[in-house]
Amino acid sequence: MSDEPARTRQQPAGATAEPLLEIRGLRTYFSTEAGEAKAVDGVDLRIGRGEVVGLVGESGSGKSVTALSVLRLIPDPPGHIVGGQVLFKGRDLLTLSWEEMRAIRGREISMIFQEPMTSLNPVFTIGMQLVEVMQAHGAAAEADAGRRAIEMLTRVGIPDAASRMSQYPHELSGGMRQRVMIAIALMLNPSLLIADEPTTALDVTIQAQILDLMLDLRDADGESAILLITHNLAVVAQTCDRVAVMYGGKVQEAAPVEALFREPRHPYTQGLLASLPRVDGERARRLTTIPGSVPDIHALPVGCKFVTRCTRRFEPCAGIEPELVEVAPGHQVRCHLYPGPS
Amino acid sequence: MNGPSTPQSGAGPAPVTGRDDGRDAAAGTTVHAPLLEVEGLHVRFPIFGGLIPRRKAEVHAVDGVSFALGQGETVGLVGESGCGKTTVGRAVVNILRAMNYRVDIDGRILYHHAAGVVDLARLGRREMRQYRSDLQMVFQDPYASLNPRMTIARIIEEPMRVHGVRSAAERRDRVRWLLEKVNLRAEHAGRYPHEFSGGQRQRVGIARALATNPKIVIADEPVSALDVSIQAQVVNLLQDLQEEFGLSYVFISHDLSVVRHIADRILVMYLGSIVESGPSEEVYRRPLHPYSRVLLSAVPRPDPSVRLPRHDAVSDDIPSPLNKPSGCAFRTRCPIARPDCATVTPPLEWRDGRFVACPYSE
Repeated sequence: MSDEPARTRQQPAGATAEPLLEIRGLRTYFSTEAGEAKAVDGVDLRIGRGEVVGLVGESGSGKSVTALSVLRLIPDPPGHIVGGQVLFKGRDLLTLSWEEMRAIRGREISMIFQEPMTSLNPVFTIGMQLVEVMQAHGAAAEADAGRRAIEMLTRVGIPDAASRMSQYPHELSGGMRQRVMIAIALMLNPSLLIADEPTTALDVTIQAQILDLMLDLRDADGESAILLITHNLAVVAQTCDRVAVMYGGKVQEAAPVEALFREPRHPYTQGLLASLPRVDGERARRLTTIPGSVPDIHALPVGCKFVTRCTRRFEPCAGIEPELVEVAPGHQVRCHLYPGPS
Repeated sequence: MNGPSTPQSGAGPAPVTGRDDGRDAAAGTTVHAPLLEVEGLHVRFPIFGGLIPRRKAEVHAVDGVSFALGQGETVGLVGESGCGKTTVGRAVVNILRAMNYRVDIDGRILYHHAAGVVDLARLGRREMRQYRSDLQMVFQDPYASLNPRMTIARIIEEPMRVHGVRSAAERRDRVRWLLEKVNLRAEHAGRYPHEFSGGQRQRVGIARALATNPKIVIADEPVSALDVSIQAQVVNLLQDLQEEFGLSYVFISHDLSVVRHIADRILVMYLGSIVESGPSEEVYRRPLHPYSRVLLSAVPRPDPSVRLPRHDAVSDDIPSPLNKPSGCAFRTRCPIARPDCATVTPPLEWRDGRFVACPYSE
């Protein structure tokens, strides 16, 4: 059954060395009729070379807006990045010109989305969409691009790649479309792949194949990193080296994946993990719940963003927002239960 | 929607008596008194094409499914997209013909009500009406399944009007009572769906399903669109309501962890057929059918210390239901397939406390 490697490997050097991507104090707001929505409000995140980092959160937590801000794909208006830095290989992406940014997208950082049907263009063949990436970056002559496209389709596990080149997206299954999206994203060997809910629309057996594929491609060169955005904690547990949990536009807890699942510190993380029904082990008679619902993004609490639902809140929580403090090596928490070194 | 009546419709309510029990073994595994027995259900959707439309092909979406649902029981229906689980649910509440009048439905859907047994599959829309209030649905998408122009009160009382003998005051009281039952507040009644979160909308959908005091609720992916922290709340609510009102659930989901939590028995479907069925604890602890095994082993565990081996997932995609493999439908992806799997369709056989449709699994 498995001479194959489990979904695990040595800690990549990137965790400690100079990061590939470092987000510092990122703030992205949206102006809406209901007021200013602070979708991302001070996010810090590091991704080392070769690392797989999970960014988890529920709807409205700001995880997707964080990713789109990195690529500066926030529709403006209504959105605008109001502060922070996004250092990619030492350069702040937020200060680049539009042309400089275009050269980064697709070549240095690529992105894949949840719904492969809507992110592929239905009126162009698979081949044209693959080749276009290289041509848009002036990276190759058409014949070379075609060869590279077939090579990439083969690498992502699409059988009979040459004949697939002339097919249209609707002729492929959901899993195959997501493979094509990954092939497009990897055409130019980017050093960072941002995957936003890449398997959420897929069946579990296909999800397992796609996650395997993404890890294989990372392992193949060992340099490129993945930022995996998902609501699915189990997917994170199975694939990531480190994980950051977002809530209310902020990272609430960040840790190596083993530490986060073994010893979650933030009451929100603890609540999320406890509320998951299990497919094996003891069957709970009732599921543990987090009371209440995700707060309206226009009316986030003043202090800790989780205060309205937290069962362990005490005096400072409603008034003062806690800082992100380190509670163990590489393990940070934003919660008054863990006072920082003051 | 008002197509020509199919041979089955118009036959009138047909009380069925004197059934030879045990004839269809797969139907009778429940320990509860049966409320619903589905026997040999087939659903085919014809596909028309050409300038002068003619029948070009058909999707055999449900291919001989049998199961029973007991009083107060939850049967989980799992499988991947295209396996027919949603179609089974819709066939049970007899709304397929209303959605697509060309659909072919065979088999029996025996509903045991207070006055006897009726075969729902033989009922036309008008005759179905008197049973409709007993069988209700909860849908996946709480955004699409609530009319945005109706207040919450109007949405919940709609089924009462349709089935109704009740006065406006009676309906209003019942709406308030139902809102409290699903942990919403009575003052929510005058608001519109857009004012609610996804979890609250799903509570409204549940209240609407309960408005007619049903016996059976078909819940089709009721928590799949909800946030993780909200899923658990809605699952608990469904269990509380089941206990309070003695409801029977058909719980349809692709999420095997949720189904394990809520279901007493589980039916695993693949390309229109049940491949394994039995008490959920048995099936989850030791799945016998190769497909059940593949499906369960592909579920990621929320625990980094038990990482699944890579490349253990089945290769290949699920075949199109339009082009089902011969013999055992799973053979094209099966790790233990043999040559004769292409020619023989394995029947469901009783083994180790469950039914399994594979002679080679152990």
